[in-house]
Amino acid sequence: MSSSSYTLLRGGKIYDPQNGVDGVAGDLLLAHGRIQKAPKRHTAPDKVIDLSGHIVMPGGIDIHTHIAGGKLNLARVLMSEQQALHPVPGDSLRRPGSGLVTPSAALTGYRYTELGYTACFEPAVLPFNARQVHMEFADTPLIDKGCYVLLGNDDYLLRQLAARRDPQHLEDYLAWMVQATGALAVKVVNPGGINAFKFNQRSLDLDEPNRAYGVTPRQVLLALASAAHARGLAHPLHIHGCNLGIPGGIDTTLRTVQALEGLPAHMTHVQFHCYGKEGRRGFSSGATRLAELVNSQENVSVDIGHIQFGQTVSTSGDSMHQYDAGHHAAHPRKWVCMDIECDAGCGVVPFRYRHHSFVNALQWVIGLELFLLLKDPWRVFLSTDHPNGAPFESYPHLIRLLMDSSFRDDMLRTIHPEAARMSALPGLRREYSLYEIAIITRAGPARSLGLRDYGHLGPGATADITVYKPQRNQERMFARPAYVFKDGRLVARNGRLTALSQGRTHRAHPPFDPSIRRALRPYFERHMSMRLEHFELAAEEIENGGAS
Amino acid sequence: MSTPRSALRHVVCPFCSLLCDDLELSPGETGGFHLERPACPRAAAGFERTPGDASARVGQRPVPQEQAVTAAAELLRGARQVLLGGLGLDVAGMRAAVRLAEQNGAVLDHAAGDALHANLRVLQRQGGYNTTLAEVKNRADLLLLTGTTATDAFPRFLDRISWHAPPPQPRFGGQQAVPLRRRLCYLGQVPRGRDARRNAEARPTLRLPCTHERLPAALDALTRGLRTGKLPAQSSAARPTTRELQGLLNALGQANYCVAAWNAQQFPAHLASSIITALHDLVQELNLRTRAAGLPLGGSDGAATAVHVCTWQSGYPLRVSYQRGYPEYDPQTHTARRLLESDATEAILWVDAFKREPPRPRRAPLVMLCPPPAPGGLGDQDVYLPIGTPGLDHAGSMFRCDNVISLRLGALHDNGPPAAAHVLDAIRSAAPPSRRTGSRT
Ligand code: SF4
Ligand SMILES: [Zn+2]
Repeated sequence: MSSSSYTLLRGGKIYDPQNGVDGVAGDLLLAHGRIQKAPKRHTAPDKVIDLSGHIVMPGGIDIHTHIAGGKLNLARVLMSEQQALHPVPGDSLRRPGSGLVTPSAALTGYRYTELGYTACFEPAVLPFNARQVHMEFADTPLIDKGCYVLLGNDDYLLRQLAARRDPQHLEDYLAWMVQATGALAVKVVNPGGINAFKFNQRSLDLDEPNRAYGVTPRQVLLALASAAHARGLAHPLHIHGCNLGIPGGIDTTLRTVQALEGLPAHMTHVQFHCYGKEGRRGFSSGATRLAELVNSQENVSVDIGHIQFGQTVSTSGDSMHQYDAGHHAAHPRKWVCMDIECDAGCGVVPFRYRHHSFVNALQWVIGLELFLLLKDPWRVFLSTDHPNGAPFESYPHLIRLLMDSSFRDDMLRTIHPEAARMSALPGLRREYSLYEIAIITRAGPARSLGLRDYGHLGPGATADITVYKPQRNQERMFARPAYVFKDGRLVARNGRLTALSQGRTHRAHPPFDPSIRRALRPYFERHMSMRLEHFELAAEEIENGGAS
Repeated sequence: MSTPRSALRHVVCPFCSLLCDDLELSPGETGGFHLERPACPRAAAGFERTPGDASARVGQRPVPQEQAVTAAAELLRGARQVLLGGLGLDVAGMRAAVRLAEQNGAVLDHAAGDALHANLRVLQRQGGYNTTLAEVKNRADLLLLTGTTATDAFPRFLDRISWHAPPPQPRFGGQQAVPLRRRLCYLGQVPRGRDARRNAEARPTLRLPCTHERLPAALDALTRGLRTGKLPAQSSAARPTTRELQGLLNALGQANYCVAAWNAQQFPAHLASSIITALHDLVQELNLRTRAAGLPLGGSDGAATAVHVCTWQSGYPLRVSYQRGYPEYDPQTHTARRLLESDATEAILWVDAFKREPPRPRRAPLVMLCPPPAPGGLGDQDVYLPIGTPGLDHAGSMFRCDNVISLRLGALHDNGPPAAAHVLDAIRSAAPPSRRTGSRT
């Protein structure tokens, strides 16, 4: 099927929350890679696919998934024995590869597509590693890609904050950085904390000054959130806050939300930031408190970062907390951290989440509590923080947990009994509808990222479409979509790839005063290890998925 | 664009994995380029190269490029066990190499595979804590060069981390920042001759010369000294002496950010693993109280690039075989060294855009891709195909020694030999495999 031909998808039940369509049977006409206005008489479709009895949704969009960059490669190397458990031969269509938790690049594209996802966003790109991320994107076929650049631990920004530079300058810096790295948005990880760790501070709370710069995480957050907002980035500051994984971290998280002073923000993998220290074991769920606050704060969206039981490996920019986690929780007992280029850091720590571990079981509970207590699905996105909480392969299972309360009850009976007893889950009977699933996995992420032609099925939308055959067991249904269309082309059928394409890279072009380069050039020469013009990515390094 | 007449500024250098990006070159008389500044013998030699006889060969005979491609493809197609080695490539070249290996069921390994693997094996066993050049430049106050002077293989290393002359102003920090008081320590190898002159300005404060054999014990003594506050007893004849070690132990205790650098390529094979293990142990011990990190130097001649590209494409850091149609990683078995000498190997494709050294000893017919002219020592069955060097003959991207960072290198002229990626792709198109073990189609 060439992209110029007309394809009619007839009679599917359409779930298109962006356009308020909730399971209404209808037709979709695809041409030129887009969804066309209602079929006209004179445009006889070249092909008609009968979808009666099928469920039709926009292609899935993963707003937070670690699919590229140096830390992923470190994880692959560190866990080579785990890679070897999943050898994947090539065929006439697919290249060979390996891995389930950290699949090789091409496999990532194939498997996401086979699960009905058509766009994925790498959330933690160190500025100095951006070139590599785009190289890997180029080798990740089918899906659209995009990335968020990490700021807030770079010595440059902290110096400017310490010197109380005007907001204008910080905005120019942020916008230039987005442009230079080909990013779509800005992320902050442990604001100022990764930097503080390089000066041997072992923790940094929201209002604690960085020893070297006297700057607090609150200042960093505010500066970045307002700069991103001021320069018109569609996706607000993507925040991985202080005190990840710490019992009692919930207090910091609540204060972080309040610290934003109403600025738009996205709080990522909140499950990991939602731990209280109540109870006999000093570890408890903060889900109710967090949900209450987020429900009342329209400026804030979240993704969950749900965990699943099994072996995985966590990859994060948060070297401060990964260092700690490595010492205390690595399984197997080995981990890698790095300090990187006066920019940020990274940490790779293998984890095995176990049903019978009280802590792991409660983490599992907290993720589900959050999903069920957060009221506005437009501000909640489905994530496992792939691969940190679990590999993306587990999404269908997670969707079933959200849609089927009796299945949830069954699972609850398998986990550590004390965690189950402490859980609010038995009282939470909410079941996500297909419409809500379409919001948290498609429409919501697209809206949050400012991708107007994505995540919906209205005329003009990119024809990224996933079709499911209804099944009582939603896990099975979501694991093997009947059809996946990318840019109007059929690329997978019954959960199996049928065609290849490249996918594009989404990036933002926020405006900045070009004289920022003049200010940065001497800084680069004095402190960095390459010249400014070699740091900036050329357009051809980013366009078309970075293929050049 | 043909060769520009005027000087070229801010050129990125491909000739070691520091990828310096501040070179100034001028066109030479005979077609090469002259390095105006800064001084670096390795870069000067690399850029000075003049294009010789750039014809392809089959056996000793000059042939058109296409004929050599066909001959290479035939060699590979008939072979059940293929070694695709050398891998002195940029990112595009390495992508093409992996594709070819996938198609022909080849084993991938780099010319410096043993040193790469020595580092990777320790990392895979116990992890580690590493750092990058800009961190060293701005934060390190103790640089511990272990078993290497660094500058012997990376001529501008001390330059690049501004270790020449003490910094007049503070590096990082806020208002109260004070200039770093930096110390340089040589443990093991100390610089001699030309290397010593290069290091003189860096003003080393500690020298603990000893043999490579002594390094594991010396490093372990330091780690235990940090842990217990006291160096373990050792025989009085041992070097470094207890007194020397005590001096270093004190320096380690006082440092805020110690960087331990080494070059696995300089360690004897039987010692590499124990030295690197001891280095990581030392860094981790330091990190319990202060901050420290390792800096495994290496990655020249495309090694860092090859590891990265192979890892994201196959899931493994080289030493991968595609013989069964999917990548299989076996760092002990899938080695260039072993396969060169194995009778089971039926064809060798050796590709190196930086060196003109056919691998030896070798048993199977060779397809050699390297910059022209054809190197000596090729046999009657062997095939030679000229390729260019990234950053000189064609543009490309490469990874730096610290692994996280990559740079884009430009083309300095447009009449050089073709990029390796181009030639490898041509061989792949000409060599559809006669069979594909393990593939599903
Ligand atoms: S040190 Fe290495 S990268 Fe730098 S100029 Fe010399 S050879 Fe080139
Ligand atoms: Zn994440």
